[in-house]
This record gives sequence, C-alpha cells and structure tokens, in this order.
Amino acid sequence: MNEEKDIFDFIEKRKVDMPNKAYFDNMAQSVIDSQKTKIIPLYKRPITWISTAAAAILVFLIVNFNSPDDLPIVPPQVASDELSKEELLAYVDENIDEFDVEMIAEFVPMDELNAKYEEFQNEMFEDEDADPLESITLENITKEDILEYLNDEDLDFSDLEEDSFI
Amino acid sequence: MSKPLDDKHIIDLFNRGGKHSDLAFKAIVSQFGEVLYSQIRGITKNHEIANDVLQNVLIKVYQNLSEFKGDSALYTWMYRIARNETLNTIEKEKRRAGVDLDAPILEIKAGHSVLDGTTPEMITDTLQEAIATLPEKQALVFQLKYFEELKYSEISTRLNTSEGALKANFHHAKQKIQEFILNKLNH
Repeated sequence: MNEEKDIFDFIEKRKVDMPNKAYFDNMAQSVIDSQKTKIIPLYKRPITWISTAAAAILVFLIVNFNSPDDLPIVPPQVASDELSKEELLAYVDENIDEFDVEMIAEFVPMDELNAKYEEFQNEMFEDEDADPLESITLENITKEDILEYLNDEDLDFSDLEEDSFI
Repeated sequence: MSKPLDDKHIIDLFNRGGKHSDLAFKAIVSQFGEVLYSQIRGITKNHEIANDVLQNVLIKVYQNLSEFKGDSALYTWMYRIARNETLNTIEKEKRRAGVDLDAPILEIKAGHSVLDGTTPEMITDTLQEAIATLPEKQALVFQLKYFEELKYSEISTRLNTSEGALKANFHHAKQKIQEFILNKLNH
C-alpha cells in the first residue's frame, strides 16, 4: 500500500547555497562590535549621576562662596564675580566628565559640602509640593480660550471625549 | 582548521571577559554559525531574512551566554533561541509578498501517490510545519541528521547525548513528520 512506503524515499533534498566563512567571521565581529559600542543612555550611567551631583554642588559653591580662597577650581586669572551663572553652568556642562567627587572633596571640607548640598536640595525642592495648575480654575477659562485651544490643536467638539466635560 | 572547543571551554573563556569573550564568541559562530544559518534559512527561505534572524540570534547568545547554566548542550540552547526567533519572525512577516523566496529545498520523486499530487513548494512547507510540531529534541536531531547529514557520533558530541538516544529521537521524528505530511496532504 502506498501510504506504507517511507515518504522520505520519495523526497530529495536540494543543496542550499551557504554563505562563505568570511560571512560568518564578519557577522561574529559585527555582533561583538555592536555589543561593545552599545550606547547606554546618559541618564542610566552611574557616573552621570555622580558627576551631576558633584557639578550641582560645585556650581552652588562657586555661585555662593564669597572668598576666592574657597574656589581653587576656578582658574586664578578669572575672578568668580566676573563670571555669570550661565557661563559657569556652561563650563560645568562642557567639562562635566572632568569633575569627580574626589576632586571636590580635596578642596572643600566634607561637613561643609554635606551642609551646602542639603541646603541646595532644600532650595531646589522647596516648592515641589506646589501644584502648578493650582492657579487655574474653571472660572478663569473663557469660551474664547476653549475655542482658541480647539483651533490651535485642530480639533472640533466631536474630538473631545465626554469625560473631558465631567 | 583548529579543533572545535567544547561547551565548557567556550563558556569559561567567555566569562573571562575582554578578548577572551571575543575569542569564545568567534568560536561559537565558527562552530555553530553554519548549522544555525541553515536551520533558519530552511524556514525563512530568504537570505536577507535569514541574515537578520541569525544576527538577532547571535546578539541574544552574546547577551545571555554568561547566564547560560549548562543544563543542556550549548547548541541545544542556541537551537531553541534560533527556532523561537525564526518562528516569531515568520509570524511577523506573514505579509511576505514581494520577498524573493528560495526555490523549494525538496524535490519529489515519482512513485508515491500522495506526493505525486503535490508540488515541491507544498511538500517543503509541509515538512517545515511538521518539524515545528515536534518536541525540541526530536526537531533538533532531525535538523542535524536529515538536513546537515551529520553522523550520529558528531551529533552525540555536539549534544552530549548517546547515539542510541539520538537514533530513537530521529526515528520518532521521521515517523511523526511522515504522519503529519500524509494527514495534511490526504485532506
């Protein structure tokens, strides 16, 4: 009976073209390269956080300390009061990789550094709990505002979900 | 050609990092690249797609090799990755109109009434479908024995499995494939 015949006796394989050895060597190398040069997002690098924290402290110290003796990091030929905050920030941003915790610790006593950092954090986040939308109330929104918004966003009333009006 | 490295040697070398990892990875691609490519190409039927899939497979191998526990042979582990990656790709590429497909890898000899009524494309696709239904070990052994035409002794070394077990696996795989094809083509 036909179905008892081994089906594989009636099937013949065709030779498939295989790439040469160089293809596999190149692929291995390209995978290795891709894994070595894989870009880690800046914000995920621990060094970025350390540098950022260090830079933030540094900027604070530069901006707030009056005595030039406390600021050995700033080149001596440039007085700190000649630099604007923006210039300092730009300098730090450009040279962020040059800053490290050890460098700061070398010039600034640790206690002082911790105190300044806390102070800096408090200043930065003192309004953290404030709701930026607090000052906006429905009473302040006019019909014109709504129409202008719809116009700007290229929407019409049918695009708004019912929930939006609740 | 240099002597193939065994699994343990490759993994130890890879885990040493740096240039050792590179050497280990190159050894993997050199020893298993062709058979993985062949496995993938047989299913994708297109070099460009096979190329992309193989690259993804090798990236996964590179990224996860340090986590490989050695519960199975290294090739078994890679075969699994390749199989999943290929099937996922095929699933995504169902709209494959416009892709140049390889000529069927199987030809039919006259004399079998069921096969006589079919085409090489159909039997090739049906065979791949049948392989996809097999348990992993049987599919793997079938791939190495039938398509790669490796000797049992070579497969035994590669998979750390006795030749007797391999013969049993191959026999069962063939039986199941045959049943699958006959059922599919008879209906």
